[in-house]
Amino acid sequence: MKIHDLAIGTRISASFMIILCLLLAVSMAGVLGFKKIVGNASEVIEGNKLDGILAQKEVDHLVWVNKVNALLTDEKVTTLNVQTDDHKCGFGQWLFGEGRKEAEIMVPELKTLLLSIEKPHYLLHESAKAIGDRYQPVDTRLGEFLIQKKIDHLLWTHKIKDSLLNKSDNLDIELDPTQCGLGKWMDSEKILSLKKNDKAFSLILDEMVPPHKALHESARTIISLLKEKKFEQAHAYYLENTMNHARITLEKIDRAVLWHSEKMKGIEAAHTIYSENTMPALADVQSLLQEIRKIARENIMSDQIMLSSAQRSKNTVAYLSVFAVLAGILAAFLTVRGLNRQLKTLAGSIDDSAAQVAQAAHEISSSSQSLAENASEQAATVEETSASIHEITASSRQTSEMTRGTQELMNQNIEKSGQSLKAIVDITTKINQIVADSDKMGEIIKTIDQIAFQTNLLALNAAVEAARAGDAGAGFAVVADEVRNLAIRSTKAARTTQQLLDETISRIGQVSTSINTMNQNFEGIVESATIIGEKTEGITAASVEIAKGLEQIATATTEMDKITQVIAGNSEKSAAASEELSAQAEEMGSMVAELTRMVYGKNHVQMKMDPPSDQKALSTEIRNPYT
Amino acid sequence: MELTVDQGQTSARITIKGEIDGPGAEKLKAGFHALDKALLKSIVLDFSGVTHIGSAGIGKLLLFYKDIAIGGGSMEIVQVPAPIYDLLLTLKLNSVFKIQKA
Repeated sequence: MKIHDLAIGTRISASFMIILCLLLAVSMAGVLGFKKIVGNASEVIEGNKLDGILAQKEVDHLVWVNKVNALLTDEKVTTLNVQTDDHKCGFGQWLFGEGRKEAEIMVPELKTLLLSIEKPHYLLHESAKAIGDRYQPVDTRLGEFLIQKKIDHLLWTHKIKDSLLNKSDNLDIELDPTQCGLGKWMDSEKILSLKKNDKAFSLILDEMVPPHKALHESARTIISLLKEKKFEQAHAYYLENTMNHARITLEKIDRAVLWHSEKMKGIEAAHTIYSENTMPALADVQSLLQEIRKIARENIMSDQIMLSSAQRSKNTVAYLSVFAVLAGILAAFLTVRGLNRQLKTLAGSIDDSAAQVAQAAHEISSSSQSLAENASEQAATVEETSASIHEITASSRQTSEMTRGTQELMNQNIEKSGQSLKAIVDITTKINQIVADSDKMGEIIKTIDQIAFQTNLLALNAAVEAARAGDAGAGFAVVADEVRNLAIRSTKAARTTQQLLDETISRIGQVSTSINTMNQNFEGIVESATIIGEKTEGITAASVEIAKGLEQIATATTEMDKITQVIAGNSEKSAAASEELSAQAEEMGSMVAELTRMVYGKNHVQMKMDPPSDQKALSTEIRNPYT
Repeated sequence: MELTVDQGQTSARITIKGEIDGPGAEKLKAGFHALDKALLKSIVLDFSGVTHIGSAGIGKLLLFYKDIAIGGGSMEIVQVPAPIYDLLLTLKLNSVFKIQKA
């Protein structure tokens, strides 16, 4: 089948199907490309996420170590505020959770490294735990401070001693125990807070307060004594009280220094753990994390590869799109060109058809008017026919009734024929019997005749014998004569009877012949009558059917009369409709022009609408023959 | 109509099936003529298969009866369906020959 043989709908559908198939192919390529890009992007995102997580873990551990380091180096940090459980830290939760499983699924090569990082990571956190256990929060400069205060109080004591030696009451020393360096230190907020947290330290300071207070108060007493010039008493008081209070106070300071030294040993142990355990473990963890990141980056799609793949997908979709657009344009061009050709031909055909329709409408109008007139005439004729048929129907009904009476007569005829036949049979039988009896009677008569003949012979013999006998036989001769006479009379009677019988037989034969003739005639009558009866039955049945048929014809004629009147009315309507059809034909011409305009544009239509004057006149005449 | 004749030396049984209308009556007549009626003394007509009998058929029966009866024979119609039996009785043919209802 050629493409020109296809229906317009099929061709348009085929064009759209081609375009849709191309769009579908482009869409599928796009979807597949996007799917691939999304897949790659997901892989890259997951890879970057993993790399970010691992990098974050590196940083986290550095921060974590810094916090541990701060505990050891920063005086402000007095507590180890880091996670010491290797399963609960951020990396530990990832390492022993779903994150590690997902990473191993994504990059199976990470399994060995992740397994190997568990131990150093554990050691790292264990070292922090050990540091926490060893660490004792203390001011590292406290020892130096206490020693300085010890020196200050020794100098303070030496100043009193020098005044005693110089016998001078001008002592430039702090007399208030709360205003000296040690006193201020003990009353400071920091030390009060430290005392609350450390009972041993608190006890040492509490024991230090009384001798320290007594020491400074002893200086007041010595100054008073010196002002009073009681040098000996002042010197004795110094040796007895001030030196004693100074010794006790310095001992308490030494105990505080010792307490500080003990604290510093824990810090030093923590430092040792930090340097010997924490830092190597951290180095191992960081090294393994870097190795893990390196392996992950090597096995996970990079951004560049993803971009290259996306670029290839974009190019594929672009090439397919260009191809689809070109193919769609080609299909649309071919379809439109083909449709234009067909529409042009179709428009011409419709134009011609419109003229023919107009011509036909005129003819239909004329025919309809003629039909209306004929229908009116036909209605009158049908009416007359209907009346005639009604009359014929009445006659047929009467004939049917008449034939029905004939049937009854036929039945009576058959009944009588039967009885007559029976009588004829009876007569015939009896006649035949009479004929048979006549033959027997003939035989009897012959016998009588023979007997009479023999009797006559015997009478003659008797007469002869009587004659021979003479007188003796005279009487016998008389008897013989009488017997002979009787024999002669018997012979005559027998002959007469025979003659009568022959005549009777002859007459019976004639009667029999007549009966046979009558039989044959009656047989013909019965046969003819019954055949007529048979035919009459058929006629009766046929007349009934004819009557029914005529009634149906009468009914049909009445209907025909109505229909004819309707036809007459419809013919008038048809004439009007044909006028309308003519107008429709003109409108169809306008539609053809519109169709042409759709196909070729306005200018072409204008050219078609303005034919040469001679053609225009002819065209007008053809297209509007009734205007 | 179909006619089946079973003839013995002095008797015959004729079985009739179908309608004894005009053409059927002629077939019946031909069948009767084909019989050797010289020695026949008893004729039995079996009407069990007869669905209709018209005037012509009844006429043929009467004439056949005549031929048989004149020769001294007898005719009997047996197995007559009710409608036909009623018809034959209406025509009083039961006084001419024997009729036996089915």
